[in-house]
Amino acid sequence: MMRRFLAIALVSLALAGCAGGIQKALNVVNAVTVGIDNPVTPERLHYAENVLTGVFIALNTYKQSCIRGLIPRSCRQVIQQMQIYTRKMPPALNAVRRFVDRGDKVNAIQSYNLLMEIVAAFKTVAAANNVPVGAI
Amino acid sequence: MNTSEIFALIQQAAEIANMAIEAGKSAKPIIDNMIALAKNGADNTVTPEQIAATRALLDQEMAKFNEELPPEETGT
Repeated sequence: MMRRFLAIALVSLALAGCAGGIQKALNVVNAVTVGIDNPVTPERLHYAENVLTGVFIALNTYKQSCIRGLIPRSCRQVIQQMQIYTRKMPPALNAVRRFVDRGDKVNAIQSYNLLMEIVAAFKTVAAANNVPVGAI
Repeated sequence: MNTSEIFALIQQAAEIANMAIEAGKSAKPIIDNMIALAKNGADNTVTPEQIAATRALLDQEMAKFNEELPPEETGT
């Protein structure tokens, strides 16, 4: 029991180190409303991609801890629930990249907003399951 | 808690510490990018090489997380 508690505390600390810095950053990315007056520039997309990379590095640390049995077994269900949304991200992100690279502002805005909806849904699942990156 | 349990706990802690170190190493390029973006401002242009490197790392990390979990080990 004690052992489990310490392991969880250690994983939380490790993940907090990864996730803490990106927490505010992703909030910023997620809170930005893009539109014709505020288009998705290559720089903005680059910033969002950097933040998402940090999120996934933290998530992979969580996943590895889960696979190695260092955290409670319920983590498997949590990962599967999060994967419902994270698996929707690559095609959505590729669409944003394609439109931004082509300079297609209208479609870039639509696809970026769709990606942010997926990110928001993912954040809700992570937060509901107390995954350290859940507060992002 | 006996000695072997304490050793097992230390081993777990070391394992987690190693994972955190590895995660830190993976995160270094993106931290550098974020620092550069913060210094230069959001309107500053990023190079195609920076964009490509970030995208490659993100795609790799996303793919890793999206892989199916391996079957649970039993009897441990």
